[in-house]
Amino acid sequence: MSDLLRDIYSSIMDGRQKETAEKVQEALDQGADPSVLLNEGMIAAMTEVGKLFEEGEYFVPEMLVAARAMQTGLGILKPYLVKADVKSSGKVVAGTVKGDLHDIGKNLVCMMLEGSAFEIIDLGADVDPQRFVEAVHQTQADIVAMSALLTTTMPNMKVTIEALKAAGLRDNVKVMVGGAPLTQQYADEIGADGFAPDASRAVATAKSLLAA
Amino acid sequence: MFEFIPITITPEMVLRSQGADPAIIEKRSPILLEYAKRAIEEGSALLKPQVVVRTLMVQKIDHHKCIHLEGGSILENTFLAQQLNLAQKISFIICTIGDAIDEKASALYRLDPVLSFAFDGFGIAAIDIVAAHVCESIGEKANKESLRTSIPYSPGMVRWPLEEGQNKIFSILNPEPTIVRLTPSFQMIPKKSTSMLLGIGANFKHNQKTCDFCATRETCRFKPPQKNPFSFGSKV
Ligand code: B12
Ligand code: SF4
Repeated sequence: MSDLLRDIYSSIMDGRQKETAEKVQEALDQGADPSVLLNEGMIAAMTEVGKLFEEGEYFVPEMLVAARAMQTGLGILKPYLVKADVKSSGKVVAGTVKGDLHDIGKNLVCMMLEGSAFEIIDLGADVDPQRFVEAVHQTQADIVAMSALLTTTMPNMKVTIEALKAAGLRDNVKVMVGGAPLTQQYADEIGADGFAPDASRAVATAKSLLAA
Repeated sequence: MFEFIPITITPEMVLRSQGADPAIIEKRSPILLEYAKRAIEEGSALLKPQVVVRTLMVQKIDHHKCIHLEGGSILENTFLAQQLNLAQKISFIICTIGDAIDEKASALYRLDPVLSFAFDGFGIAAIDIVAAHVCESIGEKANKESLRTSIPYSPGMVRWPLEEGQNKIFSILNPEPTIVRLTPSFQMIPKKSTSMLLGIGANFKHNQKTCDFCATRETCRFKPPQKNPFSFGSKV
């Protein structure tokens, strides 16, 4: 790993936004390959942050500050990636289900996915099943990511899956669910394709769903 | 009783309400401490704490199942009837800090998510303090009558379904919709609000914590470190 790549890696790990931007620009100015910067510098750093978070070592705001540094770096990298024809990881329509206003966890999942080069269409909180359907239809999304923090609103995940089926879109998208009261068992019961207990594993789940 | 609620929030409280350990953050990610301070500086003037409380006498408790209250209200829940079987009175409580902090956090979400999340942490710490203040005040008043208070019980807790509890608390308190309103899915607006009840009686145990009854306690990062039984984690 070159010195600059190492600097980019550590500035993301430490959540240093300005330094990440400067180092990415410096590397590009020196003619570095954008996809190497993305994969070996930035995504590698976020993967490590995610791993530390999963292990209980890093806390939510630390993951957030790293994701923000990552996003800033990505902003600089994007035009070069487009030129180099580096594809986005996939398109995700995300939202907290109808009746539920808890959005902190969903926001974090969106940021982590964005940090891993997914394109996000964030519908916010209290999202009606039909709005998920419309968004999937309009954007040709690859994944629908639904969040619920209340046992009373969890059933709206199934309602949304049914609405996708009724609209003939279920086979076109993967459905991923999460939120504090959810379990893999519940995800299986409602016919979701994937579940993750935290934002870091949400990224791994999204990637594996699209690889499948 | 709650005209003025003193709210003093430290950066440590904000970090803890974000699920983080302040001592570690201070060493490892001091920038987050700065964000917490900024949320306190900018957020304090936006707080609009409001509380609605009503205390009802317990008339009788049936077969550990139904609590009959003055005025004819009945609280039908086996778990609560068992937990509160020593209660002479029950206080029903709704607290909020208003919606300005949530509005600020939403507005910042795209611009600066780290600051947005710091505002969320600040708001959670603030609602925690308001609720703790109310519980402590009720506790002090009870002490003067040689009584004690139970731990707070909130609708949505494992053995008190959200729908059942919110309907009961809102029908007993009937708060002005301008203070707190209930959505069709039993969520309160403003978001940074909590609802609960507190038993008042002669013999409540003092070593209970709400976390003891919570399904997420094994993995939860929001458990309060301090002994205060009324603090955030022990409430929701
Ligand atoms: C902070 C908090 C609050 C705050 C509000 C937070 C806010 N949004 O503004 C306050 C104090 C106001 C509050 C109030 C209430 N709360 Co509350 N609250 C919490 C708490 C402690 C943390 C939630 C949080 O922000 N977590 C931080 C984020 C980052 O984590 P997360 O949302 O879980 O998301 C992560 C994962 O779940 C996953 N994930 C999330 N979404 C998705 C989506 C996908 C696709 C994937 C793959 C992964 C994924 O990744 C995320 C990041 O790692 C939880 C308990 C807990 N331990 O989770 C209770 C909890 C959610 N609250 C609960 C309850 C009951 C309430 C109240 C109803 C209590 C009451 N009667 O007053 C009220 C309702 C408020 C209202 N407006 O109606 C219950 C819900 C129970 C249930 N299952 O139905 C919980 C679980 C606590 C408990 N004791 O059981 N609450
Ligand atoms: S702080 Fe305690 S009561 Fe609240 S969610 Fe965590 S374990 Fe449950």
